[in-house]
Order: sequence, then C-alpha cells, then structure tokens
Amino acid sequence: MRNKWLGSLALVCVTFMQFSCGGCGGGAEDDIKFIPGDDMSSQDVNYNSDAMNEVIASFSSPVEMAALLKDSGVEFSPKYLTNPEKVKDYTSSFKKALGLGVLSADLGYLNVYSKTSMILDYLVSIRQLTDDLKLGQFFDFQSLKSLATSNDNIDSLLVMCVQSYQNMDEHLRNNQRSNLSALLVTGVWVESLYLITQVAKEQPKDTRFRETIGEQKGILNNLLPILKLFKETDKKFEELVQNLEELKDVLDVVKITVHIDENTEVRKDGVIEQNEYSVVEVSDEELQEIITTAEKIRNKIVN
Amino acid sequence: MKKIFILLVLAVLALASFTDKADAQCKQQLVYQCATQTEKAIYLRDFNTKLKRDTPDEETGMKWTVVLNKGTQYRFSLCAPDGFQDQVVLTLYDSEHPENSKPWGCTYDKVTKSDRKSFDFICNKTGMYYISIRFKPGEGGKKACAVGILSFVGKSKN
Repeated sequence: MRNKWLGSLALVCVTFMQFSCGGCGGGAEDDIKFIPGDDMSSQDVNYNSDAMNEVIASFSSPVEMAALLKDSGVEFSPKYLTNPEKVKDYTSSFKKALGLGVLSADLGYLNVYSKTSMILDYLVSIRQLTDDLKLGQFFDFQSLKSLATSNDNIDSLLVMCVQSYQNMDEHLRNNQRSNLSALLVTGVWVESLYLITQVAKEQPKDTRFRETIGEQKGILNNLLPILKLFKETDKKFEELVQNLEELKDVLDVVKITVHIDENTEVRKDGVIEQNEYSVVEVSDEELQEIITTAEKIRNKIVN
Repeated sequence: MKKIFILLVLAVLALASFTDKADAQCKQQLVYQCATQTEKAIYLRDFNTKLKRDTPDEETGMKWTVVLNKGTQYRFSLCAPDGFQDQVVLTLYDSEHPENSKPWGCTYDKVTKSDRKSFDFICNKTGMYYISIRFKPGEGGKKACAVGILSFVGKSKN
C-alpha cells in the first residue's frame, strides 16, 4: 500500500515537473505542433534543422527599417501602410502568416513614429491573425490596447509589440511550425523593403537609402533557400519563391565589394566602429527596377 | 496516509510553482527593465538565456545569429540579476572575428579586467553576426539568467 502511494506520488511529481519545465523555457507553451486539418502543418517537412532556424531567427526586427527612416528625417506617411481590413480576405494559414509579418512591420512603423491613434486598427487585425494561427497566447491585446489608448507610454508599447512578435516567431520555430515562422519573417522583410523603396521612389535624388536597398541582396540570398526548402512539400510556396527569385535576379546586378582598412577601426568610450566596410553600387536604372519589383511582390502579398 | 500524500503533493506543487515563477519573473523583469533602459536608442530585440555551470570548464550560455545593417549604430546592453552582473559577458563576433580571440565587441575587457554594461557598434557591412552571453571563465557554479538587448542608436554619420 505504502509503495503504491509512493509510486503515485512519484508519478504526480514527474508529471508536474515535465509540465513545469515546458513553461520555463520561454513563457507560455502549448502542445500545438500543427493546426489539425490545416494544410500548412509541416510535420512532413524535415525542417528540424538548427541551422535553418538560426537563419530565420537572425532576421531584422520589425521596427528596424522604420527606425532608420525616422532617424534619417523621413516624414511619416500612412500611404505606405497596408490596409488592416484586408486580413478578412486571408483564408489560408500561408496568407495569414505572411500577412502577420507585413502587419507587424507596419505596427513597428506606427510605433516608431508614435502614431498611437492609428495603432488600434492594426492591433485588432493582428489579434485576428494570431487567434487564427493559434498564437493568441503571445499577443496580449488588452494590455497593448490599453497602452495604445493611454498614449503616455509609447516606449513600453513598442517593447511589448516587438516582444510579442519575437515570442510568436520563437514559438513557431520551437513547435515544428518553422514554415509559418519563415513566412512571418518574409512578410516583415518584404514590407520593410517596401517601406524603404517607396521612400526612395518619392525622393529619387536622395541617395541615402540606396546602399541599404542594395544590401538586401545578401538578406534575400539567405532567405530564399529556406523558402525553397518548404516549396518541396507545399505548393503554396511556389508562387512566393518565383516572385522572390525575380527580385533576386534584379538584386543580383548590385555590386557589393568588401574592403578592410586596418587604420580606421575605432574603439573609444564604448563605441566600436567596424574597420571592414562594404561598397554598394546601384545605378538609377537598377534602383528603379528594384523599387518596381519590390512593390509588385508586396502588393501581391497584401491583396 | 492519504492526508500525508495530499500534503506532500501540495508541498511539491507549491515548491515547483514558486521555482517556475521565480524563473519566469527573472526573465520578464530583466527583459522589460533592460529594454526600457536604452535611453534614446530604440529597442529592436532581446536575447534571453539561463546560465548554469557545474564545473569551471563547462561551456555556458547561448549564441544567436543576428543580421546587422550597414550604416547603423547599434547598442548591445547586458542585464543580469543582482550579484551576477560582473560574472556574465556579452560578445559580438562573426566567422572571421572569433568569439574568444578577436571579437568585434565585448562587455568585458580582458586587459583592464573591467565590465561595461553596454557598447555601441557602428556597422559598416551588412551581414550575419553572432551574439553570445556566457559566464566569464572561472565564474559560475550557480544558476543565473541574463538578457542582452539590441537597440538602434541611429544612422551612422559616415
């Protein structure tokens, strides 16, 4: 009898400890490995590759391009943003994950420019997408809404938005849903490229963003092989890969050379300046072609 | 016997629950505290890790890959719980500037043996870089958590 009780006790402890450890690794965890009946479930894909997840995780934050534009003195423009109402038309997980990435970049743009009055519409649409993708536990809509409407703590709102995005992405990668994570970062990247190319389109004489646009060549070269891997088992990726290959062809023309100047590395007062630097050459014609192709791909994603 | 069993189960649950909460709080508190102390820099993302070292030679911590863009000044900040700040180190490196020999940046200066809470990195070449957070050599022996924050300081002046 005593052994039976001790056995039961051990079983309870082990069960609880397993449950408990699942939660301590990175916030709320659930048992969702894929969405039942959803053709975006990727259990057939051998994506359990640390290297691939590492690359996906390395992509830029959804606020970085907006921060660069604001710091460069570019005025806010709502016309660059996607219509949040469009999410109603997104029926597949593929489209929803891409759309979530796009809206996350737009939310980052609104946060950086402190446009709290417009943020609520985006929060509502993002909540819809996160619920549909079973990611709602990482998106605390009520707290975000409260921060957005109180308008007095924009820094906290930005931190919370970025952390929500980061937690969703991490959760997808840790739960055999790397295909959706890849789409999420693709959505952020395409929208960020769209934002900066639209600025370049409207200010053709301003060459400040030309190098940043040209250097997206390297980013795309890392992203594309991952999307191609998913294309092997999911036909929905075909069109996206095809479109991004078209952009790759355009970006491949950009010439990037790396130079090292041993004398220029500066380490002073906690500031380190890199002595390796790249020179990016983009002609007017090449830039125009990148702008046009980026716009076409982005509009296909959001419409 | 049944009462003892129930009491034991409750005690285990309470203890496990407390431990779990303490871990989670450490992470969330540190991230938020660290992320909102970036002064005028804009928070971009964070790097969380738990650190545990049982033997002095054991490798601890984690590394992450991150894309940094040319023409941007980034800030890397490190936060650790009280008592661990001077035991943990954040390092920025890449494949040609190894973590242990000549990293781009580090919160610990091996020569002067001094710690920095943060450092700025002016990136002149877009590419993939690595961030690591580890116990300093010889430090550790306990569990700790640490958070690295990447923030955007501004477009570089070059």
